[in-house]
Amino acid sequence: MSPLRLLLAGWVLVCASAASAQGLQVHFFDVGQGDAVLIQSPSGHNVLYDGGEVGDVTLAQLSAAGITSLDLVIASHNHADHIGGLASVIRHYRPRFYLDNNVPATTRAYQHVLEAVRAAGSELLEASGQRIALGPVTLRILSPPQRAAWEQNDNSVGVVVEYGAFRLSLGGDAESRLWQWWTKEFPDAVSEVHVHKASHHGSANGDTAAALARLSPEVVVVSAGFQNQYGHPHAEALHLYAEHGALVYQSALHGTVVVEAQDSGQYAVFLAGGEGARPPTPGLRALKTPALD
Amino acid sequence: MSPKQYTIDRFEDGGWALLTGDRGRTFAVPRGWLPAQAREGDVVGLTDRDPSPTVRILEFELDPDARADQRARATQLRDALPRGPKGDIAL
Repeated sequence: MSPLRLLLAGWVLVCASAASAQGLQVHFFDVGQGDAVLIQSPSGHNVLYDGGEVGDVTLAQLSAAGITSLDLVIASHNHADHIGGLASVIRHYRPRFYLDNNVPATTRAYQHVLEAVRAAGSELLEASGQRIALGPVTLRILSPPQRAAWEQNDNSVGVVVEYGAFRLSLGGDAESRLWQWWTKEFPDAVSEVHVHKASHHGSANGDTAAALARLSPEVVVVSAGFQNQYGHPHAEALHLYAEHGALVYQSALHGTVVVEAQDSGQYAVFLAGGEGARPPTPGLRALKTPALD
Repeated sequence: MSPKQYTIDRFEDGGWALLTGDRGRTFAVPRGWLPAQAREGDVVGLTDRDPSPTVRILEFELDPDARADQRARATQLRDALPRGPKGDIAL
């Protein structure tokens, strides 16, 4: 075993012992090119943020995580790599609530999701900057401007997950003008987080330097397909994360990434392994232990 | 024969356009294959011709009426859904 691999194994072990009590769990599922993020509150509430592109893949991930019920499904925006798998998930789990960006798409995939929501009897929640409490966990909903002239990426619904002192941000496929919008509309929410999901799968047009300066994440998770044809994550984005000293995990390299957090702010990152698994891309703070900072 | 219809789900990095058909599955084509004025959400009709055994021509044409119809259908579906509570909530 190489020294680097030994160090990584030790890092995960140390973090695991620091966060062994029941806390918040956030699973960044490996669904190939797409996003599907499961939020599990210690109160037992489960929320799915996006559903990947293929329903069977997302259902298998949810099943492997032992999920038997979903309280809320959030569609960040209506592109197929985020909602293509949701119709199957919604029909299977029949969540109580469904929340989307209120910017209808013209694809059949979007209609399939709405038909599933109707069949499941789920109630529609409008994104309005509200707070959704899952026991001790709060979801801060970053609503989009809902401008029809803007494409779906810049009408993404963002979520900031708050559990005591721990914070995690999910920005869908937000690009620069949406980050500017959120910063203006929700300045207190767009602030320091421990963990951040790379916007638009680590595209150069996703996260901005200004947004990352506010969020200052210690860990960034990139959800993108292995050797995808779009080149995600782009070198520009990885460089940006490195400049901010963030550790980068990639679903294509590490498989499903699970963050387990305590309300003290301590957290651990667990890797399920994956195709071509290797240690995280080092940033300026490479191989430090966030849970012990 | 009427052309098959696809919707432009999105444009992606690297010059790709992602199209979806009736079953909701997507496939990528070079953006340059689509009309220059095509935008996200447009519906395109695909005509597939084989003028000779060694030549195949794929021709995409915008269908603005179909786009409007799909948007109206989606809006109608969404408007018919039962509404949950407004404002802050506890699950």
